[in-house]
Amino acid sequence: MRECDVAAEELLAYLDGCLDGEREAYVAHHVKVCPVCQIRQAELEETKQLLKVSTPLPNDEIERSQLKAEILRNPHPPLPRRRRRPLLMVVLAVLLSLILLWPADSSANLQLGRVVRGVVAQVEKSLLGRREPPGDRISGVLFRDSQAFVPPAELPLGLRLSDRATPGLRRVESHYRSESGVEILVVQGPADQGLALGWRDVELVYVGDTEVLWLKDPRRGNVAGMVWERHGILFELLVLNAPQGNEGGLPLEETLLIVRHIIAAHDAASSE
Amino acid sequence: MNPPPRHGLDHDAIHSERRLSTASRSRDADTFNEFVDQYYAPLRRYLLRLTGDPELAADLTQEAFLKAYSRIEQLADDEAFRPWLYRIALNLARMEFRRRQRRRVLSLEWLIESVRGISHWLARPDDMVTVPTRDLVQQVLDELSPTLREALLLHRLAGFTSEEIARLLNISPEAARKRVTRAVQRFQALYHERAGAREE
Repeated sequence: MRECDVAAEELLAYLDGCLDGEREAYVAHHVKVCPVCQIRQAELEETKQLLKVSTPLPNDEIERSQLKAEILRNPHPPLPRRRRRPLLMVVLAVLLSLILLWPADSSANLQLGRVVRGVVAQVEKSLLGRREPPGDRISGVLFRDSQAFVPPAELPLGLRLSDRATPGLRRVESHYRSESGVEILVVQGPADQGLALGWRDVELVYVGDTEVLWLKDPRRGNVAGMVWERHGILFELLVLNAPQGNEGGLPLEETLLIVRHIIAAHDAASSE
Repeated sequence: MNPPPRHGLDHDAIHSERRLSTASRSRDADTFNEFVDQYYAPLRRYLLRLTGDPELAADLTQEAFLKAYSRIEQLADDEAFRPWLYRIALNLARMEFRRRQRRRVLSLEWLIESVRGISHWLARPDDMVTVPTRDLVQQVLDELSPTLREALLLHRLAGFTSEEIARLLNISPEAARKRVTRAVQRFQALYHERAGAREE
């Protein structure tokens, strides 16, 4: 096979019509005979087709009409103006530098540092509302480690509780390990807190009457995590490690066994 | 071999766009609404793929046009409307992503509803392609970094040239081409890997 001396970026420039005459002529000739460039070109075209065919232009007539009506209703909307206050910016920058650079245990008898830190404390207080010890309220009940549901010491797949922690204000974590190398984390928090989720590939499954969100592992059919709510508590089961062979994540059936087990234990504890 | 297919707008469209840009700078609502007719659907489609969320895409599209209209006087004389509009939309989308990233706290109820919403959208009977294809394309797009996803969609879906993307993203044309090339390679690799896995 001939060596290709046209980089993928240059091929793109050519296809975009961004090359000058001489180079354009060279690449045009080269593409005719170079299998590498022909494959690249085919990939570009296939990508375009996949995106376009799988994303038809939406039927947007109603939305468009509403937008046009809005524009006609308000033909002269005020221009958003950004106020520039250079002096204020300088003052803020100086204050910020003082906050960042002032030594916390400065023995210098200067008031400014205290004033600045006092202001910062006030701002923090007003922004954050409060600084409380671990624990918070759910449905009028203080949620902390002592009041979280204590999950079973043992779970299916030979998982054993190895430690428990309360790392945040509203979060209790139980860490399980098995001899075969499976590690999971069961996190509990108040249901009104919601959950931190950056997962796009999710599916809803049911365990009994409980809706469980299956956070899919990129490997087909595997589980990266499970999320469900029960009796005001939000549970997150996160797969930290899976034995080799599963290629990351746990199989769905096995994870559902664990979830079912936790739910049953939780129900039993709640009814006591 | 045929001349290379060019992206972006053809000559008539460019002429029409310049005429509209000039006219709408004077805040003529009717003229601006011609832009709405021309670019609403493509922009919404672009945002749909960028965000993966049909409702968010619709909201961002409306917001982008309203913002463009309120700031139309800021459009430079030699600047085309379309890339300017996409830049506004892209900035809005990035702001939204950042806002969500900061919060990253969604109620379970909301999440379940949104999963149902997406499933419903995926299963709409008037879709031109089968659900698995659409789903797979979005899955692959979601796996790309935001930078690569933006560049890929601007080039391969919205039809901007690498030089237009460079101006739009405020980067060099070489950097834009590098991003698009890497994005296409990554998209292709992931797509075929996932598609192969599905067929097994």
